[in-house]
Amino acid sequence: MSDIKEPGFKSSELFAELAAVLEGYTPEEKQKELKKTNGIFEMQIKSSSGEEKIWTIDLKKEGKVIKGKGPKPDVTIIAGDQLFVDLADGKTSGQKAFMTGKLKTKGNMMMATKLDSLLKTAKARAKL
Amino acid sequence: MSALLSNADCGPVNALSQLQKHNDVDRSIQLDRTSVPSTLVERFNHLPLTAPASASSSGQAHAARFFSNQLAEPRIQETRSLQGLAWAREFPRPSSSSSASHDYPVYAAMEAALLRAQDRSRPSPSSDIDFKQSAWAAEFQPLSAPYAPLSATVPTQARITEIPQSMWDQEFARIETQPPVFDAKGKGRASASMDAALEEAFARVTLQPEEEYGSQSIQRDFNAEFESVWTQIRHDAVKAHEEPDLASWEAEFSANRMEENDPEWDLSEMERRYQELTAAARDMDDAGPTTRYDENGLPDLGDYEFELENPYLSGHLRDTLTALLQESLASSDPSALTRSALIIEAMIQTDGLDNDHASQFQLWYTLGQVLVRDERDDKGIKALARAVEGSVGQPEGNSAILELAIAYVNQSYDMACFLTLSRFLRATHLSHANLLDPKSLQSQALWSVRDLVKDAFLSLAGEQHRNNTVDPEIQMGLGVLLYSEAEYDRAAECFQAALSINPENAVLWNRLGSCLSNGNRPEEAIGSYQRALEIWPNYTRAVVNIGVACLNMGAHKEAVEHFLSAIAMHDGSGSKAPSGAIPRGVKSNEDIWKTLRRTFLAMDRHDLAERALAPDRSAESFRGEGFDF
Repeated sequence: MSDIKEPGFKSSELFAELAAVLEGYTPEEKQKELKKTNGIFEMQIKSSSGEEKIWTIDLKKEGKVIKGKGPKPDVTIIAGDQLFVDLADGKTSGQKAFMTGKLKTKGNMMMATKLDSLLKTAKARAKL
Repeated sequence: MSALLSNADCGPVNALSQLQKHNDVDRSIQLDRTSVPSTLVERFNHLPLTAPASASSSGQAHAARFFSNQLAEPRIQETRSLQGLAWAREFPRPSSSSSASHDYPVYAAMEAALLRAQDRSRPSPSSDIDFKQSAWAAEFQPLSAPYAPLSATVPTQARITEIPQSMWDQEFARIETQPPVFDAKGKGRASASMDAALEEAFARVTLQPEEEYGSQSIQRDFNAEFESVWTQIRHDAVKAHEEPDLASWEAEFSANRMEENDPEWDLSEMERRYQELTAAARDMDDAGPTTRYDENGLPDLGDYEFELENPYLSGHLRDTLTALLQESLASSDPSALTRSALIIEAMIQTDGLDNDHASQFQLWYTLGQVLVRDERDDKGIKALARAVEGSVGQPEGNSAILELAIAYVNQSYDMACFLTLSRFLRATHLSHANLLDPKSLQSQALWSVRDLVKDAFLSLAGEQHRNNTVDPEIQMGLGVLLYSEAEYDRAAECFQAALSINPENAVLWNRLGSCLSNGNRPEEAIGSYQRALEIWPNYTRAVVNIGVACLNMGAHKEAVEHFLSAIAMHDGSGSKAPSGAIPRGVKSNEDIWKTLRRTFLAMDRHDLAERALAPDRSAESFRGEGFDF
């Protein structure tokens, strides 16, 4: 998903992975995913160099990831690029990030709680 | 038992004699440990070998690596040196096959087979598992006592994250000390923007590992700050007219407050709402939007669904089935686990109306374990839940509860996991479970429940440590709790502690691997998984987990090979077993195919991803694509 990635934004790799996952879903799996999450997330990411970029994760209507603004989001998540690296690396959880202020939200704050499961979908997880 | 001995219908191998061989602990053909590279990392400085080696003739000579949750009883460590660790003197669990109870010869024999651990204990004193005991043990060290460093006669090998001592002391001390009285007003006034106020509060209590904590009750300070800020925000929210995009949030927020007519914002109310929402998210995570929770707060997963096509269902006697099961578990057949599940299903179904609780429990528990080891959680978790229903008074009952808790966390049923772990603690160490009353827990938020259960485990582990004891099950429970909050490095240490007692337990190696893998240490994870497979080549879960680690490392081809390997294990294509082909109806976990597809997409092989969708898909069909499995 080269159109999702953006140099200087490690989080974009995660979004690209999520896009790949969604692409690999059967139509039934995708429907299930959309029903389950039922939200549009706008991610406002600030890179370590100070650049700001937006991605939209639509898990409500079409099940895709867009670079830039997309359909009206249910929640806007504002965070630094490094946070997503940490989330992907398992160094923190969405909940922890929220509680410690590393992640801010606008809009339906409670949608932000779905961030963790969204990221779990993006990155393949090992099982105990 | 005579039926087993004389039954020549088991096939060429007399299952019982195989068991006897295991009992004699024949070590001569086992791999020479010293030839194995010692560091976990070192083992893995190159990409992993593709599929696990197919079973050779020595596969049979290797004692069958069955899953067994029969971890050693907590061991007293006489000295703190690694060489003195009790595992060195551990003996394999005595098989009960020779002293099978006459009442239930069938089940005793089965249990004997199961007790054969993926646990290949050896008398060799040298350990190639090393962990910085000082780091791990420091967790349980009270602030004041100096800690004598261990005489590690083996060089440090595993790369363990060193936890700063102060942080560990802090963690432990937190449990023991009383919270100081705090000033409820807090310092900051909620400013016009809610975000700013929150930020202020969070900034004061942001957890930074390097920081020295002045106060001993960092957690309680945090809650206090949070609470005070929220109180102020609530008042402001009702009055303020903020930016439009916050409006809906505020409205929702204040509407609820006004409904309840409460003068003060209740932190636990907030947590409760958060819990509802995470519960809602959780519901939908795993089972679709319709997961119901029963009165114990556990997800209602539905009835166990037996395979419709089961070659073992036709007219086998129970005794024959038991023998077949033992043979299957002992075999080097890559599909051993899948096959064993079919056999046990047949046993349960032909058992039918047998009301013997002990055997029912044993059957469901065994089936549950076989299924989850075979990476078929959807069925395995139901079997384990059934087993736990009948677990009271059973000798392995508590292990079953622990196994179920882990199955819950694997499926992201976090709350169910914590509730089940609390049940485990109530059953095994009631004195440490004072705050873990089920009804009270069920009414609390996810975070609180986790903290309560974690504190109980920490306190017990600390006490055990002071008594020079390592209890593998307590370490596992603690590890699971830490894992659930993304504290993967600390969780890994717990599993390493459990491994120090059971160094040849493939399940523990797999679990350690997953802590490392999810904690972004894929190379070490693979080393750990390889250890598991070395002990137990048919351990499907470890195979899939290696695939996941490879995928995360960008080693796509190797990832594909491992996923295909696992699928082949399920469909029996690699199996040379003379009887009982795996019916086509037995499906691989859908998740494996899903993960395979995404790997193909990551390789830009849309064609292969397409083929992994077709109804006629099979692992075999990909062999021609240059994948070796």
